[in-house]
Amino acid sequence: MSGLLDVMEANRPQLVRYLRAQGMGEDAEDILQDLRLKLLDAAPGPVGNPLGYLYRALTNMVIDKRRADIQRRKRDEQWADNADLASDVTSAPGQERQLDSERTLGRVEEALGGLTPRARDILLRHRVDGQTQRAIAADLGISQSTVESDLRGAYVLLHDLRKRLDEE
Amino acid sequence: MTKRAEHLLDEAAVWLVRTGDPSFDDWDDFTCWLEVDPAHAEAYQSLAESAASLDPALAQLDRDPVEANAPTVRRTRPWALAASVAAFAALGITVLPELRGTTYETRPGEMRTITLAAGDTLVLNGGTRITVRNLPGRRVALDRGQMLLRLDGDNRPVTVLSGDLRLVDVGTVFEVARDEKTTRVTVAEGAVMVDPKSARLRLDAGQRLDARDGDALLRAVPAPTEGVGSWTDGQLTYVAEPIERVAADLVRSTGVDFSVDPAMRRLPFSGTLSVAAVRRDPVSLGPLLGATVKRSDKQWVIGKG
Repeated sequence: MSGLLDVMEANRPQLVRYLRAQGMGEDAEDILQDLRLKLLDAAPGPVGNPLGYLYRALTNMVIDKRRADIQRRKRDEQWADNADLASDVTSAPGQERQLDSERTLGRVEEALGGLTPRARDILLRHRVDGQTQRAIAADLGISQSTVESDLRGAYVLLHDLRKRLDEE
Repeated sequence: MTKRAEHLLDEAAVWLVRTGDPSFDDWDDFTCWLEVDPAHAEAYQSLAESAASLDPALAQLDRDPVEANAPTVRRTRPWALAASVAAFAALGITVLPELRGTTYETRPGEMRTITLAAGDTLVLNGGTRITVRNLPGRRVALDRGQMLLRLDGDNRPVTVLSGDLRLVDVGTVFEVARDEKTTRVTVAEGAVMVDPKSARLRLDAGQRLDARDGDALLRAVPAPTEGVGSWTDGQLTYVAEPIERVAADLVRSTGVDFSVDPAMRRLPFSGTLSVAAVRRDPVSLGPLLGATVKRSDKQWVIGKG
């Protein structure tokens, strides 16, 4: 894995700049350090596009960090809201999560009705199966830009759904 | 939403789609776009986060609407996987190494913990080989061995592949073991969806699934939760399990090469074994199993008592 670490060091200013552009500010260096530790822990494996790989890993970490921050805020808010309520019965966190996900499943199913069957197929192939856009285009016999276009629409649709679900 | 906000989301969607491709190379251009305005990064991340938060639900959707509401838990071929492999082969494209992910392998007797994002851990037992992929979706392929997963429900879902079995979960504690062509999944907390595309068997805490590659029916049985992952503490607990399974687990955990006399293989064993004690003195295993353990070549053979 020294190859990836070397690439990271050689491109450090660029990667820090990217993280700052993603709004990470002071945390940029820490995030790079986190990635460094993860890479040290990983078994060596050939990577076709090392710099691209690093960017994608960092992007992922940015998104994960954002989710963690949002969840923490939500939990803090909930705690504040419930602080006055005395309750004998508390449902287990696991149960709440399960019920919520069943309801969400129905809503997602419903929202995806707004996509063409092809767009729905492309979305699931990409997000669930992890197929690349190129592979999907080849499978379905369409151009890659058609795949990209369908995916764009799907992402916007999912975002709208997320906003609606959050408001409830 | 204002026209400007809508337009910004569309732009962010363009970038989200493009950066989601492993061959994407215009990171400098993307950085410049992000630097124009903090609202750009916010839009991009918000879009990415919305999709990621709905991944667990997407993973559970019916792939073929015609198959919905099937009364029995019957499986069909995992068409999506077969299709993507065929596509790569037909075009003569080498699967990008990035797509294959990172491989971790432990020797028998070795244990290793791997941390995925924010609080998600995999503990690998000995003799285990897995491949982990983080982008675009988190996936762990179990080639062989045993692992314990502890996943925080707030993170993205993890898909575990074992043979032709596909497990999807969010926020659970569960264990998966694969030997040859059989997979055993035991859930300690939360729930795991098995084969979200076809059979859609839901395994809850206190349930276990034993499946062979190619099985047409999947059935869950009750299983004690205390045993799940006990090997991470150096303890192996059994309730009427065949000795061949005990031996396979011991090989993984101790690194000692046990083999079992055919006459003994199916005999049930109940009890708790200490990995350290067996490693120190394999012969001591004999009386515990109601058998004798003798050295033969490089192996320790468990035979009739």
